[in-house]
Order: sequence, then structure tokens, then C-alpha cells
Amino acid sequence: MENKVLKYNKKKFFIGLGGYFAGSILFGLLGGEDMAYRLLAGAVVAGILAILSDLYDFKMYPKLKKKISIEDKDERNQVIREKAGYITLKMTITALFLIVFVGAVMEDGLISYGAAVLTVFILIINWTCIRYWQKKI
Amino acid sequence: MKNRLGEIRKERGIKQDELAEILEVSRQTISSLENGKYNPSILLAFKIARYFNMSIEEIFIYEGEENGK
Repeated sequence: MENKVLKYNKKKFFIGLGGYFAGSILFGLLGGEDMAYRLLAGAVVAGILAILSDLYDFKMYPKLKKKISIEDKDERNQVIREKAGYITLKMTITALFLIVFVGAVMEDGLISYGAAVLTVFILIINWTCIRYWQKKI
Repeated sequence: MKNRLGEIRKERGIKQDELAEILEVSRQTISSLENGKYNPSILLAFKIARYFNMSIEEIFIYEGEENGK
């Protein structure tokens, strides 16, 4: 069953990716030119295919839904996600600081300010979450 | 922290998959616990002890200060 969860995750990823490309290509073939609508069409097709795939999988393997839920709530997986999230945050902030710096050296205000705003936004979200969980636990 | 989980599980003739299903954790968690790579939460330690009808101390052996894994 565990292999089925892994297979399910892989299948869902490829169905999402395939659906996205199919949707955006189909949108182009039907004469659509607007980039935003093209992205939206891809996302809609990917979403529909993912839902259909879920309906099929959960009907074929009734225990799959419970297994997915167990994998999601598994305490070791949660610890792994927390550690990965922490490192990802540090790396993202560092990368954004570098972009701000490079933007400033290249005198590109848009890149510099864009990265700075994004950095502040991420830090505010992070601090808000920390404050929330400090009160909650 | 050392533990006797693998030994006790084998004594009872239970597979890792089966124990994982009973405790509602992944098989990898059972494997990591047995290898000493991961220390369980107090809740999971209680669940394991209760399932084997033993005390936590009979399964998990605390050896003093160590870094949390």
C-alpha cells in the first residue's frame, strides 16, 4: 500500500504537469493569445484531471485515502517538513538579500525593490506565524 | 535514546507494515525508530507501550542528554 501512496503522488504530479501543458496548448490552438488566460486554462485542466484521477484512485483503492492521511499526519514526516521548511526559509531570505544587493549594484531599482518587498513580506508572514504558535502552544 | 522496539516486534511476530498500520504511522517511522534514527513523541511512545502492554521504560531506554532528532 505504501508503494501505492508513492505511485499516487508521482501520478498526481505528472497528471498535474501534463494537464497544465495540455490546457495551455489547447487554449493556444483555440486561438487564445492572452498569457494570463493561457496560464488559467492550464491550471483549470490540471485541476479537473487531478480531481478525476483522485475519484478513480479512491474508488479503485478504498484504503488509499486513509494511507495518504496517515502519511500526511505521520509525526516523523511532520518533523522532516518542519526542518526542510526552516532551511528553505533561511535559503530564500539569503537568496532575496543577494538579489537586493545585485539589483542595487546593477542600479536596477525594480529588481532591488521587488526583492526587498518580497523579503519583508516573507519575514512578516514568518513572524506572524511564530507569534500565533507562541500563543497557541 | 536506545529502544527495544525491533526486538519486541520480532518476538511478537509482527511485520513493520502491520505495526505501522496499527499505530497509524508510516512504515518508515517504525524503521527509523528501530534504527534509533528517530525518537518518538511522548504520545507515540505511549501508543507503542500500550499496544505491547508494556511500560515506556521497558521499550525505550533514556541515556541522558542528547540532541533531539
